[in-house]
Amino acid sequence: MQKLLQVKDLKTNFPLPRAMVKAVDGISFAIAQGETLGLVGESGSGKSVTALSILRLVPSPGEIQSGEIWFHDQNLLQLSEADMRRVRGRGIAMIFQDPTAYLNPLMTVGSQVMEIIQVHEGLKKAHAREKTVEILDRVGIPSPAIRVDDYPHQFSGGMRQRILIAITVASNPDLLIADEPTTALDVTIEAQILDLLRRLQSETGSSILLITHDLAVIAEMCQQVAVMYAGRIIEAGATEDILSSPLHPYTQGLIQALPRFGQRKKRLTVIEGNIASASNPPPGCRFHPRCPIPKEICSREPPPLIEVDGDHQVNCYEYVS
Amino acid sequence: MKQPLLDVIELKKYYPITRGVIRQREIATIRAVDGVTFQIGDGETVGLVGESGCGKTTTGQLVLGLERPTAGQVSFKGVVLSSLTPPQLRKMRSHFQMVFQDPFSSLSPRMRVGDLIGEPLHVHDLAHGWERRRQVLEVMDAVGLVKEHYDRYPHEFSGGQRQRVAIARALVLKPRLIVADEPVSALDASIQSQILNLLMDLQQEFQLTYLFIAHNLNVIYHVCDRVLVMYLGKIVESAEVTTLFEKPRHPYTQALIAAKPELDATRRKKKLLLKGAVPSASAVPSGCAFHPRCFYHLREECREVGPRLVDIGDGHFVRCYYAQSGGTTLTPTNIELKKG
Repeated sequence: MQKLLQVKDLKTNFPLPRAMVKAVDGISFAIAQGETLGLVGESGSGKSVTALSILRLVPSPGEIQSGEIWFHDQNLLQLSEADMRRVRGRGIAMIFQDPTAYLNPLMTVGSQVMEIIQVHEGLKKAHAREKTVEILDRVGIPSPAIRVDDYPHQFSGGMRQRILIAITVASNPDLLIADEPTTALDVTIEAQILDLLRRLQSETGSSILLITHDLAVIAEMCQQVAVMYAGRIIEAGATEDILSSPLHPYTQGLIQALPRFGQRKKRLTVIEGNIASASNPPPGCRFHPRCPIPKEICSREPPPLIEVDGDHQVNCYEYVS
Repeated sequence: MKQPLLDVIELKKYYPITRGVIRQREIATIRAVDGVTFQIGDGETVGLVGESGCGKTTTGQLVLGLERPTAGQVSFKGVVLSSLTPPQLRKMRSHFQMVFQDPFSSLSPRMRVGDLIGEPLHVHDLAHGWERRRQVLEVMDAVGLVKEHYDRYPHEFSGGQRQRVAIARALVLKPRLIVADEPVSALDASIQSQILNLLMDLQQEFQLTYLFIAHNLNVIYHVCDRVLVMYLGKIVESAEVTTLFEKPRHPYTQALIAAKPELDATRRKKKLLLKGAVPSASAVPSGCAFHPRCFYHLREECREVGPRLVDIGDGHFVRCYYAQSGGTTLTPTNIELKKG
């Protein structure tokens, strides 16, 4: 299958006065055309930094140290800033957890969508407005011809997320990066937004990189999934395989830790300890201090990536034959 | 009938929206909690679910006497809270405590953990000096903190440990009832299960009763005996937890359960996508508050009158005309407390 995006051995660091935070420490993954890849992990695992690295928008003092990010046929890390700007929006667009922070409160939502259409398609104002109303309608804003002149504060959280999605739809990107798009939303609104993303994807054939901490959202949205822990991908493969037969002890723990039906009031499985700190990660396998089945070698050498039947990969000594 | 630990009758909390500086006029009213009636038996865990703005948190605060109700009453072990004088209420408060969602903002960053946990003992004038220290260490041990943590500051702790501190702080007065307002929703999945286990263990050890406020239905299902579903300030359905999840009768509950993303493909249902969002509590729709989003064929009375909360059998209460065939009307006198 044609790969739209290919990330190879990406490392992004945040040099701080007293420590070097290796937020993303050598990760590789790929997304095919029309596919949805889920990136799942807990806070501080490096999911969002990965997304920002792809767009080359890592905030200072963070910097991409090494690696390659192939999008279509170009390595994004070698583009000039001007070329990169052309990739952002039309090539790769991003939506965030908190739509309010990314909408200009002083501009009507219509003009924020229209701005994109005018930049990307060079349309005249009247025509752009028409197209804006059409896009707002597509993302499910009721009476779009009227609401086009409203300001962000006049919309609810779910509607604001729709507007943010409208802005990305306006540039018709090949890849949409959605960073916790429904985390701030109520469950009935979450269902609406996930449904919208699915529908837009089937209409446009674009790819989605979905970043979330919620395995259930991954299960419903993604064909492929990569599990991150402390800056590294520790397991990746088809969502079905990973959810039904997780190999890495962390993935296993994460799935078993969730409350499930039929297990009411039972003690939940616990992953002991706390999430590894990115500024001072444990040596070897970063999960070893919390691992229920640690080996002697785990604390010395980082484990290799092992291919287990087909594209199911795991980063654990347990599977070294 | 055994006396319930907590008895809440027709509780209401309205907030006025005013306009004008000198002569303030009331232009609208936010009906945050609009006639809520429920009871909690000793040792029970009752879940309160609903989406943002439905009045869950306000209900929790009213129960603890942190807010004054506009109408209705809360009684704790048969004592009506609003009849108490401020000193009496303060004394009563040691029997019920709250655990908040965000362990980052609910703990003072300038106090040591030991002092934070011991503060309620100081406020209620229950223990001092070495005795207070002894009691704090005892409760720290119960929540899985060690002696060495006593002199540390909250910023040195992770989210999960901070939530343990907050739980210890609630527990130190040996309360009967704990209102836990989204106690695990700010925590990562691997930490969430630690805290849920802790809350279940503590319930056994200290015979606690929980009012568990959460929006995560899986969490509610796991820990609760009974569930109350709120929508726009009203309880729309309440039942024993398995009944509610297996046979939800109110369309809102049905939509909530169906909307929940499901890890297990075999449990995945067709999504009932609700139209629009929850209306503002300052402009509650006429009749049944849910009718503009309802997916059933609306009757005239849905739009105009609005149903009452009715028992449709076995302590399963529903506020919906469709679900109510031959039920009895719920009034404060005929609620049967169902013990799980």
